[in-house]
Amino acid sequence: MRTLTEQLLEALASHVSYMTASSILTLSRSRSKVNLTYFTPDDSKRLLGEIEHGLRTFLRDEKTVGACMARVSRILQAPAASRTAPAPAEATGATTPPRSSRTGTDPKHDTPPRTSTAAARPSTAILPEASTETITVPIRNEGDIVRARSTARSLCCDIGFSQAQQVRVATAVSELARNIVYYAVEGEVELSLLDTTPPGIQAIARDEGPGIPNLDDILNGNYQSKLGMGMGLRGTRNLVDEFDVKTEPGKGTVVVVRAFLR
Amino acid sequence: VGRLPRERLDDMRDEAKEEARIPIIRLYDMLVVSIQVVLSDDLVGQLKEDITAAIEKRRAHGLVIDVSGIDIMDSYISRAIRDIGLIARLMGVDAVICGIAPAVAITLVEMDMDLQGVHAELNLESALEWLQRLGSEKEEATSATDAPDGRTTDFEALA
Repeated sequence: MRTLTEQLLEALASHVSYMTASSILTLSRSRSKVNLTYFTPDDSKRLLGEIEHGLRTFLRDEKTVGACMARVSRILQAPAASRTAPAPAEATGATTPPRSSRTGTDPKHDTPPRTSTAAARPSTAILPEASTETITVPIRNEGDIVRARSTARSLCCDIGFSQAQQVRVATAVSELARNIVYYAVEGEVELSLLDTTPPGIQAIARDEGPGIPNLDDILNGNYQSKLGMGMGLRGTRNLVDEFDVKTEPGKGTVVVVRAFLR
Repeated sequence: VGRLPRERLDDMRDEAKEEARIPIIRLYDMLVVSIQVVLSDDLVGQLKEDITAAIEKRRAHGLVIDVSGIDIMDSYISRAIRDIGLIARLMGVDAVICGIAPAVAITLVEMDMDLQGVHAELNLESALEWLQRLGSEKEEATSATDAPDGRTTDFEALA
């Protein structure tokens, strides 16, 4: 499963170092204010401009810039089917992507106007199973914790969550990812949008670590960990609407959390 | 090949080099630490050492930890910040946390983590004012006990 970000990174990294590629992409995304989950052709034009600008900082050779840009723009224009995370607009072939139907929805407002939510629904309804966008973030180190929570936050922002809700979900995801790094060493966080009414977001934290032997104690607050405040998992439960843990000693742990638009 | 403006290059470089020390600024007789980056384990460890060293060397009477740049505080980050506040207090320095974003405050309380034991203020300005008030109160106490050396008073305050 490869996300758009991964594909773009790979394309950039074939001409500059991975570190540089990553910073070019991050900066281009923030400067063009383009979200890689949903974007319009206009968005992709802006993003391409920023990426090209960034590439020129590091590449002197006009030909190399051209070759790299050609690869990047191919990825951005590729039909959704070739990606694991298709942008709904492309999948339906609709000229107005969900993004623009939500233009009235400022994520900073607590309650988005009802009409805009309703307008977004028909376009997502036609989608096959791709109505839920899935992004998998592998968790191996601290940097991945940050990546997981920023991805979660931007997804929350996409579906119109309020600031407080965005922070709740991002914190919960951060907490789950941190548990993986500290206790299981390696795992993944799978983030997806839920096509429910009201819409929601789901995060699944999966690892094949040692499992949680004293789950009940932790959830009842009878356990204080050395690393966090002993409240990571319990705190996470308080932040989300749905919370489920499946753990088996020696086999691993799966935590599923869901939060819905209020 | 067109050259980019200097600030843009700097931006890119800053992005690439995530790991940097958090600066400790001395303001009057206070230390100000403004956390504007993502806190990693290494960074927190470094910050603890830097702050204790700065307190010892510069004999500051107050420490402000500005967290307005932090958009998400999970249990680890909040614990790290609280630790820094408590460490400062053990060294005889009043510590205050300021700039907690509304959404972060809500989340912290809902998670049952309230940075207990460390004073909090709305923003940098009110944090500095709080420390100044505290400082002048201590001074009054000093003149009352007629101890000209500030060091002795600090000791009394600790006892």
